[in-house]
Amino acid sequence: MNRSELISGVSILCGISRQEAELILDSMIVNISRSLLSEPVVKVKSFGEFKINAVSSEVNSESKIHFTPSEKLHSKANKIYENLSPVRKVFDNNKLNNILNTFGITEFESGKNIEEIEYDVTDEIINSEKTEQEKELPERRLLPDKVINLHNDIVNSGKPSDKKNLWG
Amino acid sequence: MNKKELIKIIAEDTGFKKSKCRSAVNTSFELISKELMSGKDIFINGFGKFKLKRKRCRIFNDGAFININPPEIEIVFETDIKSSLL
Repeated sequence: MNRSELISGVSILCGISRQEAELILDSMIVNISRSLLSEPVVKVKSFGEFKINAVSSEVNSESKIHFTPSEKLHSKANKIYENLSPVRKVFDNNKLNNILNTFGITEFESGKNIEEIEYDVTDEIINSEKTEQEKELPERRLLPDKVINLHNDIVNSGKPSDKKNLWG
Repeated sequence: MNKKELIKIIAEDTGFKKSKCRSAVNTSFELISKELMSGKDIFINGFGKFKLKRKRCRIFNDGAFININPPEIEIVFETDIKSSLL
């Protein structure tokens, strides 16, 4: 979606002319950017916050607008992951190695410096060949069962007191 | 600044009624979030681009602990470099 598509969408949904919608949208953009120069934050309820990040160096200085989505919008985007939470706990390394081997990942030893293993679990968010009605509720690729099982295994193993949220 | 103040400034700026500005502003933010939720980017010339960024699932070992960070979909905004106001 680009600016002109947004303008026609607004003009149709609000029953105003294209020129009026264009004026309002342009004024909105200008006023958000302008007020960020004097105010630290522009809050839009149920959408998010705009802040300014000043990046200055000796060569050049530039400012960038930083957007933080509202909790509502963020949780809406992450709906398929709502049951998963970060985990940090003691877990049997051999057991983990066995599970990770099924992903083709080997040599995962404890005591080493932080070792990172990444695998793509969300390839294509949306199937482009959908009807208009289906597009409103996008079908996203779910996590492979193995990842969910691994997550649950680690969460459920050990004493409940061992359960510790990574950010907690 | 919040949305109420933004609408007030827009109404003064354009000379339209506040109610008209309010519905237009609300609709445009609703449209942007709806479009984002359907997995598409939104590029607004002179302002920036809203898009979804996929953060992958990450498992790492920091000695005694196993950490799992579940995947996440982030909403990011990239400022348009042509924006002359900043």
